[in-house]
Amino acid sequence: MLQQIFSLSFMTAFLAAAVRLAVPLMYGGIGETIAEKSGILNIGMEGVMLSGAFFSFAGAWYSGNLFAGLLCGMLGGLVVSLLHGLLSITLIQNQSVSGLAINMLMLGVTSFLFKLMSNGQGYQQIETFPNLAIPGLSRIPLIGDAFFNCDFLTYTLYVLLILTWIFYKKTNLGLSFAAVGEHPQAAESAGIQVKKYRWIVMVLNGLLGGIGGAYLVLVQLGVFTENMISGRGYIALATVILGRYSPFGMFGAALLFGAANALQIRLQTIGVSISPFLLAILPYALTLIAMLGAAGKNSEPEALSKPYIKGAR
Amino acid sequence: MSLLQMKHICKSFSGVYANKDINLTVEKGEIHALLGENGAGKTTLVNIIFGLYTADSGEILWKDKPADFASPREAIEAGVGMVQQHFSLVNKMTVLDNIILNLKGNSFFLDRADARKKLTDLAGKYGLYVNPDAMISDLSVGEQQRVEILKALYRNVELLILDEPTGVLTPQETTQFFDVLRNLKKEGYGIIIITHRMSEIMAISDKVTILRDGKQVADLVTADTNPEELSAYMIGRELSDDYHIEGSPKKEVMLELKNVSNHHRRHSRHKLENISLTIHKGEILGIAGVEGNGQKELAEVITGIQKTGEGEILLDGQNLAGINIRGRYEAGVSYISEDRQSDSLITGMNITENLVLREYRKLPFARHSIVNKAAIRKNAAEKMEQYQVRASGKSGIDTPVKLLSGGNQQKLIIARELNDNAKVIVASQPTRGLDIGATEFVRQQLIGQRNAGKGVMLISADLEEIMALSDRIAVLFGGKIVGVLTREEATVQKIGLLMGGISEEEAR
Amino acid sequence: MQKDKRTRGMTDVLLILVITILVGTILIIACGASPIEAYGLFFRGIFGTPAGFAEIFVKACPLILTGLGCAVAYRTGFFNIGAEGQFYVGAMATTIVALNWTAIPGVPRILLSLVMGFLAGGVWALIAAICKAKFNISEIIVTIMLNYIAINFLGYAVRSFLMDPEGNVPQSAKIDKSVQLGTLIPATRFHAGILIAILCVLVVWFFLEKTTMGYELKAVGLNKRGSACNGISVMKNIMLSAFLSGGLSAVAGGIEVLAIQKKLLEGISSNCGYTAVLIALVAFNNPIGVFFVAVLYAAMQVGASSMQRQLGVPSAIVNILIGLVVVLILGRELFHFKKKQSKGGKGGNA
Repeated sequence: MLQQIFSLSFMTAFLAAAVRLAVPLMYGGIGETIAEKSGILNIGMEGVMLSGAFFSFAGAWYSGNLFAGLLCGMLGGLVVSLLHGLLSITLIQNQSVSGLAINMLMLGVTSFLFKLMSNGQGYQQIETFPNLAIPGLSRIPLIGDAFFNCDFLTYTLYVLLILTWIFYKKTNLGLSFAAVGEHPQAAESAGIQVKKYRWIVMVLNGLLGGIGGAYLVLVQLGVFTENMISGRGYIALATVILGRYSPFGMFGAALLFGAANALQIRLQTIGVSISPFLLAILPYALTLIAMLGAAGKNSEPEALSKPYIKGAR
Repeated sequence: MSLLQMKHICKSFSGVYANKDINLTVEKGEIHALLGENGAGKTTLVNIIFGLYTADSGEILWKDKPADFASPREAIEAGVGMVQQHFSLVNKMTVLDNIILNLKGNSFFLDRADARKKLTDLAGKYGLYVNPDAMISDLSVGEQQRVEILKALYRNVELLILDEPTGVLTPQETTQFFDVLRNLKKEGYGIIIITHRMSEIMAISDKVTILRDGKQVADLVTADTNPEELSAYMIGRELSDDYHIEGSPKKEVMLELKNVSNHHRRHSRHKLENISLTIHKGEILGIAGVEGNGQKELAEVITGIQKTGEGEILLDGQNLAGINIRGRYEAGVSYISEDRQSDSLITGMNITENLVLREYRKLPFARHSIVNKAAIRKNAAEKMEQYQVRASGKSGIDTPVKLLSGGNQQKLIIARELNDNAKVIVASQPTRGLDIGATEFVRQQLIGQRNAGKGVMLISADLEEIMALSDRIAVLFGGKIVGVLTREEATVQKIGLLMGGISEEEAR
Repeated sequence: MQKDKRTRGMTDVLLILVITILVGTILIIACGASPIEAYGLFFRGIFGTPAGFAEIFVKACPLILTGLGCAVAYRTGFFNIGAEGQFYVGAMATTIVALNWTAIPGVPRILLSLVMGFLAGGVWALIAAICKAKFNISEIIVTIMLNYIAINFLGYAVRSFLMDPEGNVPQSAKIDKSVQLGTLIPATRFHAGILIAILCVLVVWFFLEKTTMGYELKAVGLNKRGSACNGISVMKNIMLSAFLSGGLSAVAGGIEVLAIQKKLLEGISSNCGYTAVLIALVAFNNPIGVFFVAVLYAAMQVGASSMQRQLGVPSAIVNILIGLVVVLILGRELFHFKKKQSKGGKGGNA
């Protein structure tokens, strides 16, 4: 049995599955990282992704074009994040409450629209984005297939992760966006328009979360089903924390969740008796332990989810 | 050419003057001190310079050209920098990143190597040593202040405004800090320093402008003045004694503090050191001092909100060590906090609920943990009547406390805290922000407690109030008691000097 | 000014109601159905048959309990989103006792199993409370993580130690008839658990409004610093409210097992733990309010499913509407935005 697990073909397939399962989390996670680094907690990521999933499906279905579908998914996510922005930035409401309400609302809206659209009948699958193997790299044993024989959205994600990392580490604007989440008053006194910056991150949050949802439809499944995000939005929140608010940390955390998920599927296929459900607990438990370990030397942005009123100390 | 000229500056907030007809001129290479009591209008004035407020009338000339900065950013770009009492530093960023945050000249990609070199040069030039790569959260308060100054210098300011800069520094740090200021002065920087410490004004400044009640009362050249004169200008009036304090306190001690210090953490700004005080039965002990010198800590150490580090506190002979807040209240320690809305009241609750905040567990308000609403309401109705608490609107005793005026909120606290069981009343800034009627009411209540044989600790920044009501006056400075005067000994001048950190001996 | 506020509050409620009904109607029309017919079916579904009417309470029962749980936690500002996980922990504990402690006869075993469920759920919620009170870690993410841990653990349990030895479906053995919570009204699903839920409403109401502990919870929720300065332990009260909160949600899980499913299996919460958060918020954390909001929500569900069956109007409308109500409550300031400006910016501090 162990031999079976440690065989190259098993590991290759396992890693590939882990990456596929992790990509939607990573899109949600990168959108959430950007938002949280500037102080906005969007628990409504679940709703953002759900909206992205539905509208990408609807867009692709009616237009017959996957890119049009992707665009619709991004806009669908955007609208949801903007609603959260309106409630939390402009109206200075409790961000957690707003996010939860948005999740419920979007669950209803997407299910409703889908029912209207399908008129009760099942939909056929739409075609999905093809995998594009990168010559050479995809031949690397073990990891080649997982990381370099993917669809273009996965490659885009790699680029996004690197750009985000560079943005926060190396650029003037990145420093400003981080300052907005750490100490908005200090940022304001350095001439940074806090609310404007927060609106910008909500736009990115929506677009990226939308892609995360769209990925499930346009790459993995080719169909929309009710409540198909089923908690991935919440897991995306966890990857941000487990990844300590860094893009690559988030990448690793999402891979961990993906791996746990993939392992349970893989193990089932070869009939191993470790319960997949116990395995599935692992990343959540790790997130909790990571939060406990980080207590005190918190990496969380100091102004996260605190309402900001200009001029008030 | 003067660096800064302010002419006939007026500023009022909802009809009350904060600054009235102020004229101020600062030259290059000059250290100009602004002196005044709390609320004299110093901070308002510098906030106008820095673009945080706009003056109602008057003229500001920056290098002989009219200037009216709409925001701190504009002020900084013109060359005015300010280090506020509360630092604006991002804890989780390095010193360097804080300094180059959103700088106008930054390129899209930050050139940290260049910035680090410039910063190191600057720091070396003025003796403002701090590791550019250290996290702000790892720095001491003194180091953080250096970062704030460097931040201003890095932006090429020519005028530096410092609001109470030494309040957070140790004596050693203060000495170093003054060396820095002298260096800056030599380089031609103009400096405005707000302080209440007379010794510092004498040590560092070239000129002094004294404000009182929003008005400019004196412009002096430091070399030609002395602490007594400064103190007289600052306080200004001989205080009248309107309150009839009868008889003298009893011999018995009600509250005694023996060498008390508070339990303070690293970086904490205020600490108490070795406080020894006594309050007798039937005595009001006034605690004078400029705010932020340990008043809140003193009150909270007695009431049990802050832990005592060393020393002991005896209430009527009973050692309060190990007794919690509730236990101390039950033993007889009552507290009127300076932060009435956050510390003394639950403003989201109504009058009835707030009045039993201390005793909701006890008969008649509760029996076997079950609340007796009727008793609580009866209590509220009685107390409202007795203490003349007025609630606007129809809700009466059911009015949420946040809808009451400050005076009525304070009356509620007094109605709750001044009960028969109380032995010592710690009253912190009890009349701040109240109208004349409410102020009078509160003072009469405190005198009433004294005359009933209780001990009263009156902590106030209002010297007039302290002198009018107290049997004895202790002065708190930098977390220490620097002098205790009897009612007869106390003069405005003596207290003023002590408040400015000059001991009686030194003053002589 | 106070009166002003009250009339403002009334117009807010009215506006939210009107907008919600309007949106509901538009959605029905969007489905190509006649609103009159749809509302007719909606109300016939609710009031048409005793079974339909009783179904409201069957659906409301877990919502009432989890909603109460959330309300208790929110009293102290402990933003518990873990009702879902606490529900399952309770369901598991109740099942274990109900199946195994066969030495104890019927009704006592029912009560004991629910009490054990309560304790288990309470302890589960305490984990998050300790993280918050001791280490200042946001309870929001912690409770969400605990939800997934509980749900996955349930998945494991019904496939291993709790799996019905007779079958090979992931579910527990059937609970003995004597420890089931039976139906009280024939031909409906109105069960004894509903009475327990109503009892809990009254007990929680009494606890919050009439006892010194309830007073402390309220004080801590409104002003932590002020409570601490007056000798009320903030930590103790956060832990207490979390414990009770988890316990109440757990009882919802236990009742669902004993009364409806008669065994433990996955997915039995139908996400009521998340709905509960919104119910508590709409009810402004008032226990009696929770009861009415939960019943109203359940009635909408029952009515909507009758619409769905006969007209094909998706019952997801209900989710849209409750989400919308909360969004409108949060966004109600927008109603006053124009008025404020036309008055020349007055009342800005309200």
